[in-house]
Amino acid sequence: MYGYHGKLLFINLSTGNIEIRPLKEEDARNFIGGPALGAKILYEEMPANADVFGEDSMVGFVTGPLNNNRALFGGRYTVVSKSPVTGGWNDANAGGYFGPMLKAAGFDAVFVNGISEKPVYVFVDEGRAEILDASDLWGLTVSETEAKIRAKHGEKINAALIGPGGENLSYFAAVINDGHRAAGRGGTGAVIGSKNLKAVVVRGNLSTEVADRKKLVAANKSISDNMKGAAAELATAFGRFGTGIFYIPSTLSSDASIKNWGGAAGIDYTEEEAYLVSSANLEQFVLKKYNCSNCPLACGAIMDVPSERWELANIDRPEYETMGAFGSQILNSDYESVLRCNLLCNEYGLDTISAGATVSWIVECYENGLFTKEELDGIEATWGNGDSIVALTELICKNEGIGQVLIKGTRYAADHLGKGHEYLVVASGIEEPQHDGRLAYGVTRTYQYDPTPGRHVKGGLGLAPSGPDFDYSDTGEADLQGVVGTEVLNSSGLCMFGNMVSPPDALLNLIEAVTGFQYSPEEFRKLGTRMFNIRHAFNIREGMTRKDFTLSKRFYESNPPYEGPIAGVKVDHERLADNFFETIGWDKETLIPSLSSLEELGGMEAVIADFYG
Amino acid sequence: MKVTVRLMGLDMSPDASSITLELSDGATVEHALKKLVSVAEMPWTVDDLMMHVMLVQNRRANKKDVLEDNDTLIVLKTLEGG
Ligand code: SF4
Repeated sequence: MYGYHGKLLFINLSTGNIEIRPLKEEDARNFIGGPALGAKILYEEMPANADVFGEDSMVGFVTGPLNNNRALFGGRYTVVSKSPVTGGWNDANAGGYFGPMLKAAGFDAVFVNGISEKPVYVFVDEGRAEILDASDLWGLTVSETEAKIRAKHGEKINAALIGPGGENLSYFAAVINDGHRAAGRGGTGAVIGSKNLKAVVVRGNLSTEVADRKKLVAANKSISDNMKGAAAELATAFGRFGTGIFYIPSTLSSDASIKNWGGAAGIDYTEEEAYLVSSANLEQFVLKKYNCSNCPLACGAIMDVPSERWELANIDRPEYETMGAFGSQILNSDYESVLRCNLLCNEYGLDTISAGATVSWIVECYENGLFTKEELDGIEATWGNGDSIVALTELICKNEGIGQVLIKGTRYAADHLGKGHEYLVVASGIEEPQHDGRLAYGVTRTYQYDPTPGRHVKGGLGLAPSGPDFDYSDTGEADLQGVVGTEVLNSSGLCMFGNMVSPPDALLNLIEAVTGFQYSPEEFRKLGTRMFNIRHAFNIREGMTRKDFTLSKRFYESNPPYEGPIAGVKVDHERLADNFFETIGWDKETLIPSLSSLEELGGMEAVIADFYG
Repeated sequence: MKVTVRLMGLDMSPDASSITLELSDGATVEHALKKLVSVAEMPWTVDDLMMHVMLVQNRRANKKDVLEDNDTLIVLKTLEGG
């Protein structure tokens, strides 16, 4: 098999058993890698309705074929597991160098189940693996952990690890590699923490053979040419400002959350306030740029920021999502506090999207008299109060005071404390990323019904703003096409931003060049649809039906007193969903895919057996 | 009447460009954009501009909206806008 080692590593932390199994060629062809291959394996290996923190619960670290195969932008890998938030499927990806290094260590994926009696880490070293003691790593922050691992195994390793957030079973615990690259969403870090697993450390120099080297070189060249041609402006802007390039326009258009999704863009949070948090203002502090494996764009930046309040030397520039989550969402223009929260989340291993949303939720609750200052450990949790935002984030990170409840996210906190449900803005319990469904209507379908709800990096109608003359009549086909492209992208190992500056055929050309698999347009459509269905099937097997995929009203309806660009917008999100279900072939109530649609896709035998006998 | 048009993020730069136009009473958003592309040098057509989010002050606008004296028309690009 080209592009793959054909090897999957399975580790049981309860028994200490380590097993290498072959990756079947048909699975590679049908599911490629990343979230889809992870879903295929977990669907078959993990029993239905397993306790998310129990021994049967599995977590996977899955590469894509573009990892470590010289494909430009081919640095993304995916963590997969059940989600402690939704009780269903979870996948989240990260860039950096871990995915390519896992591949160089000789495996296409590592899957872990069981629970270790004491803290451990897995060391995968050139085709072998061992389980090592991590007692001295438990409790350490991300940078402390990585430093200790490097001191022991040398600089040539890479590690995907959890911080105290994962150890404390935060429902938004991230998996971090390279110090700052986060597979953040959905709480897989907590699943890892529940296994007493601190890290997966990888090292190696093994390579895989590429099917068509000439075609790979040509595909890479087409990307470089596009970055100098049609996509030159976007590539330059991403390289210079990172994903935060659109922060100001996004806060003014109502793409980003304003005041916990209840405020008016440009009024409650002005252009001048947005500027302070934006990449344009932060550019003055940039020390150097950094990139992921084989990335010519380098959207990351290290900054040195003078501050009398916090140590902000040598820190990462926040991503757009983080700017929105800790900025406009809480009416916060105190950029130092945004940077501090970003740093805290990276160090404690927490997802900044959910962390910011959780702070935003408690601020709105406090402003509306649901909590007293005493109940919030003396913190004056008011809108735009940078010091309070940092203080609350610190409590969450350290699992102290009110942070012990907030660490499990907004829905858990509202249920546990018995208040604040009216201020939740979640999709199946997951806090929303910084793209408003009332501006881009299709986002409501994606956030509500993607197998991983509440994700801006999943497919559908996209983020292009909808106009007043939006036509609901025939959205299913475009929605499915968006899903297909994004599923294949995410499973390949290619970075989404890289894909945005690449010509449209680059993704398929890279996959075909590396793997040798060929996909006709019809097969490509089946490929992406199959990927989506296998992730979805995991949820359906857990017993989820349409009523379990929920979306907070504030995300699709903005009646008075809302003002600004989305005033009066009411998105018929269930109609968008109906259109989509008809096109993909799902029953509209049970969401079970029809037998004929599954048979037509192929490769779904296990799903067919479960639902149709 | 005077209407200020601001273009934000269209050239992927964080800086907004701004121009004040003299328009006749009753002019619409579309009239303003037509005038803009005729007086200012830019690589975009009126149709290109109208694909983006358009705001008059803080409210969403469409091409038929009638402008008033001292209005600010903002055309802005979001991540996948336009
Ligand atoms: S564009 Fe940014 S996130 Fe994507 S591969 Fe390059 S550095 Fe990594």
